[in-house]
Order: sequence, then C-alpha cells, then structure tokens
Amino acid sequence: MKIFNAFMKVLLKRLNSSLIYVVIFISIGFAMTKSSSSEKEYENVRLNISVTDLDDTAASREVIEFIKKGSDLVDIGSSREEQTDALYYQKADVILTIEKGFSDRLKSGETEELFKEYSVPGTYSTELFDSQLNRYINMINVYISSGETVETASQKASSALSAEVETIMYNDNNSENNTLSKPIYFFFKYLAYIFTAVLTTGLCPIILAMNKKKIRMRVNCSSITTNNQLLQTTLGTLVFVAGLFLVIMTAAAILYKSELFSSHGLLAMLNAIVLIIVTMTICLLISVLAPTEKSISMISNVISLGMSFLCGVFVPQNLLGNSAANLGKLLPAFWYVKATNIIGEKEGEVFSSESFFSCLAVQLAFAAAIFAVSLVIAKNKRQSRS
Amino acid sequence: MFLHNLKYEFLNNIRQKESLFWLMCFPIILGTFFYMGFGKLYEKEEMFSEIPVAVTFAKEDAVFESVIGKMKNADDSLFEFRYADTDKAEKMLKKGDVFGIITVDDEISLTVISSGIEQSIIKSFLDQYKSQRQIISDISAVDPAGLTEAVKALHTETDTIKNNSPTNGNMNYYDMYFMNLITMAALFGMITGLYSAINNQGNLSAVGARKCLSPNIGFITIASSLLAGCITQLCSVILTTSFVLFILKIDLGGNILMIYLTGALGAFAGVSIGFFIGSAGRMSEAVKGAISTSVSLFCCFLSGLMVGNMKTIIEEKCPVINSINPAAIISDMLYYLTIEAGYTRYIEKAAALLIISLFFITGGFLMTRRKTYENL
Repeated sequence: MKIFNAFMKVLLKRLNSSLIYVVIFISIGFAMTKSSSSEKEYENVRLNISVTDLDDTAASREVIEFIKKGSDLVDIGSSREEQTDALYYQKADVILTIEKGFSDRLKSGETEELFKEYSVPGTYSTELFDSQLNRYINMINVYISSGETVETASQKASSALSAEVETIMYNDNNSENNTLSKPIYFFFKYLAYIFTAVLTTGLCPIILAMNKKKIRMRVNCSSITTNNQLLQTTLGTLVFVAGLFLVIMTAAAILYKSELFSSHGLLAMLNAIVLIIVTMTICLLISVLAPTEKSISMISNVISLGMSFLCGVFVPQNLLGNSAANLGKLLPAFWYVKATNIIGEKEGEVFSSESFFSCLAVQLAFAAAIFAVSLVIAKNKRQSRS
Repeated sequence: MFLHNLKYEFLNNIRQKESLFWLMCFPIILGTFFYMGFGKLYEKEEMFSEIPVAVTFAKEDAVFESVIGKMKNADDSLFEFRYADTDKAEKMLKKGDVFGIITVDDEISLTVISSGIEQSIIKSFLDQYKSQRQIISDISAVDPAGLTEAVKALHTETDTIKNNSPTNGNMNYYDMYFMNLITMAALFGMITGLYSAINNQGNLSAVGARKCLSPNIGFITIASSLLAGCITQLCSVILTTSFVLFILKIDLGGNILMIYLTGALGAFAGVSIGFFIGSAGRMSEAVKGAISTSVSLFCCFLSGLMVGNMKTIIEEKCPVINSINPAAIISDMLYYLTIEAGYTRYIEKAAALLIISLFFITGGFLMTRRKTYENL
C-alpha cells in the first residue's frame, strides 16, 4: 500500500485549503437554519417608507397612520444625497413628502399632486405603494362627497380599507411534508459549488503530485503492477471523496435531523452522490489537462464559479437569461440544480420521479463522457511522451 | 537608468503568466459570470411587468368579471388574467406560471404559494375591490340617492402623487457587483506592488540580491519598479473597465474618463499597499503573497464583491471601516459617477484614497531605505 500511503501523506498536507471551504459552508448552513422560519402563513410585503409631513394636520397624520399599517417607516435623513443613497441601497423603497395645504386641498376636492415622491420609477415597490395611497385618497374623496369632514373621511377611509380578502397558502396534499424546506434545499443547492471547489482544489494537486515524472518513473520500475497502482490511487481518491461526503452529510444530519432522512431528503442525498461522481471525473480531466500545480487554482476557480453562475446555484434557474440557461444546460451542475429544484418544488419545478431520475441520468452521462475523454487524453499524453 | 529599469521591470511584469491570469483574465471571467448571473436580474426582479394571475369561478360574479374585463383591456394593466378551472390553475401556480389564484365564490379569496411583492400587489387589488363593494352596499343602504355620486367618485382615476426620480443616473442595485469588480481589478495591484518590493529586497529574491550589488541609486531602482507596477496595473484596470463598459455595456454613468481615472487611482492605491506589505518585515515571499491576496480580497468582501449589501451593513454598524477601506472608497467613487450625483463627494473620496496611497508608499520607502546586508 505504498502508493496509498503516499497519497494520504500528500492529502494531509493539502487538507487545509479544502477544510476552509467545508468549515465556511457548514457555518453558513448553520446560520441559515437558525435564521430561517418556515413559511406556513401568508404575509404581505412591508415596504420601507420615509415620510416628511409638511402639512402637519389631523388629515396628514391620518395618512401617516394609514401608511404605518402596511409599511415600516424609516428615517433616512433629509439631504438629497442621503435620500438617493437610501433608494439605491434599498434602505427605503419610497420617500414621500406630504405637501403643505394637503388637508385644505382635499377639502376642496383637489386630489392632484397632494404628495411629492422620490422613488425608483417602474419598480414593483413603487407600483404597490402608489396604488395603495391613491386608493386611500380615492376613498377619502368618496366619504367627502357623501358629506363627511376631511378628518372623519380620513378615519373612515382607513377603517374601510382594512377589509381583507382571505389569503390561503397553497398546500399540495400529495406532497405534504414531502418537499424540502428552504434551509435544506439551499444546503443541497450550494453543494454544487462546494463539491467542485473542494475537490478541484483538494484532489487535483494530489493526483498531479502522484503523476510527477520522477515519482511515476520510480513507481513504474517497482514491483507494483499497473493495476495495483491504479487500484491504490482509486482507493485514496475514494477515501478522500467519501470522507468529504460523510462530513457534509453528518453536518446536514445535525442541522436538519429527520428531514434529511425523509423520502425527499434521501433523494437529495442520492442526487449529491451522483454529483460527487461527476465532480470526480471533472477532477480527473483537470489533472490530465493541467500543465502545472499553480494553474490548478485558476482552473478550479473558473470551473467552480462558472458552473455556479451558469447553472443556477447562485442565481435561481428561472431568473437566468436565455443564453446563460442554454449554456448552463451543457454543464452537469445544471442538471444537479434542476434535480434539487424538482425535489424541493422550487423555482417553478414540480416533483415528478421521472424527471428527477432523468436529471440523474444526464449527470451520469456527463460523468461517463468526461471520464472517457480523460482516458483518451491521458493515453495520448502517455504515447506522445514514450 | 530610470527608463532602462522601467522598461525591464514592465517586461518582467507582463511575462509572469500566473500573475497575468489573476490581473487581466480573472476579472474578465468573473465579470462574464456576474453578467450571466445578475445581468437581467434587475429587470426580472425589480422592474414592474404585468403580473400573471389565474382566475377560477366557482360561482358567477358579473361585477367582478366586468372589473377584470376592464382591467384586461386597459393599456397599463397591472395583471395578466388567465381564466382556468381549479386543477389547471393549481398546476400553473405550482409551475410558477402565475403568482396567485383568485377564486370567485360567495367570497373572493386568493391562493398563493409564497409571500412576495407580486402576491402583495394582487392582494392589494382584491382588498380594494372588497372595500369598494362594501362601501357601495353601505351607501345604498343608508343613502340610495348618493349612490351614483359615490360610485362615480370611486371610479375616478386619481393621481395624487408627483413622482420624481432622485437622479438621472443608473439605479440598478446589481450593477454594484461590476463596480466592485473594477475595484477588485484595481486592488489586485497589491500583488504587483508586492513583487516590486520583493524584487528589490536582497534577502527575499535573487533579483533583489543582484540589484543590491549594482551601483544604481536605490530610490531610482525602486521608483522605476513601482512605476512599472503601476503601469501594469493600469493596463489591467483599463482592460477590465473597458470590458465592463463596452462589452457587457454596464451603465456606470456618462463620464467615462472619470471612470478610468477612478480605476487608475485605485490601481495606484493597490500598488502602494502591496509595496508596503512587501517592504514590511522579513517574512518569505509566499507569506507576503498570501497576506496581500487575503488583504485585497477581504477589502473587496467588505465593499460588497461577494455579498452585495455588505457595505451598507458596515455603514450601519461601524462606518469608520468604510472610510478607511480602499475597496469601499473606490466602489463609492464609482457609485457617485453611476448615479451622476455631482463631484463633491467623489472628490472627498478621491482625496481620502490618495492620502491612503501616499501613506503606504511613504511607509514602504521608509522601510526599504538604507538597507544593507552583511551577507546574501
């Protein structure tokens, strides 16, 4: 087991960089689990609104009370620069000024430009807030036209608008308790980045070190057969990969407990096993292609970040541009993320075992193709050297 | 002699293949990934477009039908209504084709799969409809004569708000990633600055040892080396900035020259910090290299390269970090140009960046001056 031992020695020396990725990933997973709450009841989006009241009357104060019901008031400062920064960095969605004379103009039936608003035009937030405020003023007008004073009309409009329709969170009885919750879904989704980053930075330099000319020549002239060499290297690789998988899954078991062992959790685990096989073949290809050890960090960064951006790890697949999504389909991680979406019924995917297993099959086909290409390149390199 | 040194230092810099990848290619590759990931996100996530919503009728409601019929035909409709039976509507909801299902029965109800701004807009519309119906029935019960007037008032389109945009510049939040990308390219100058220092230190590199033996004036050798580093870094920043502006077509404001100037100031800051790290202490080249890479990436992390709102969080918790973090300063300068908010704040930040650069470069020179070695 000389080669296996040498493999382990190199592995231990290079374990630090891989460990950094794993530790950061598990810490983020832990923080996400602590901070997330499962979404069982519908909640309206609360906008951040900054209000300046120049009128300061009972009616204008009633407007502020109405805004407070559905939004959060924020203090962002009064200078133009502070307001622009607040809108850009999304600290405030809308900056509203109630103009002087608001109450008097309302009394006389004037509704044009009662407010001045700074916002990013054409956004969902502006649309939502404007429609709510216009509706409120409209309602006040109705009461005023039926003979109420501005103050009473404001109060009545506010209470009239508190009528709400019943909002139901959709719950599919067939998949009840059977989809992945958000934290475990994101945990498995980000595995596509972590496995690629850890294995390419951890495994490739070891394979490259074992393939150094001097070491290779020394091994070749020993009594160890080629098959035995291959077996020991494969064993070393499997120990590393299995170790990584076990560490990640142990962390998942601690974080998500029984959910990991539910039917959908087990499917996610199966998907992760297939992904790790694909990643191993990618590492093999990089090791065969990489000219030097220094170039591995470049290749590793480009592949792990590239696949993550193109395949929908960092950005939801349904929000990717057409060209990015089409390009992503040519990469195995896209099918891993799609399978995770199918299990979690996220990003517009619906669970179907047929489509899930098709995604696994596509990943395995990628693995077979990458493995075959690696073997061909390795063989050509060997022949050209000899 | 200065020009001779400058030429060979520059040639030396552009022949380092590994450094060249990180300085020139990596920012472009990362920029391409950013564009593929975030390029269309603002339009899809933030900018309003008709919200698809399914409508199922369990019971006929002529009033509601006429309301959505009118909305459907309006030019700037909020919703794209799709009539469907319950099964089809649920399928559309699960697939993400619609954001909600409006079920018309004795009471109108809304079914959603998650909470979000689109769902809130649908709910807001339904709440309004419910309130209006309630008011009409109240008024018809109390004062049937005033009903016509009330209905007329209810259906009057009011525009009570005078909308203003705070700036004519680009308010796309996701473009901040591209500003931070240019910042990263500029601060990678730390690597260039580091090698300028190391290549002049006899105890750290063979080239440095050879230079120490030459009769050249130390200051001129180091100054030429630093200038070569700045030129190399400037090339890298120009390449990244041009890629962002002209290939990816990211709108960073109209003043392109100022954008390049910002990159150049950033590159100078990066080189000077790298030079300081390279000149400090007797750590090996590898250790100093690791320190400069970590410092540059950590500064970029704090300015929002990896997590977009990091700079805002720091501004709330500990604003002094943003005032001294060169990455935050460079990205702020680019932000001021992007939102086209005048040059007052830009000049303040530029002055701060220059002071930081001068501080580090002076520190670097002070540490390298009059250094002699007993043996090499």
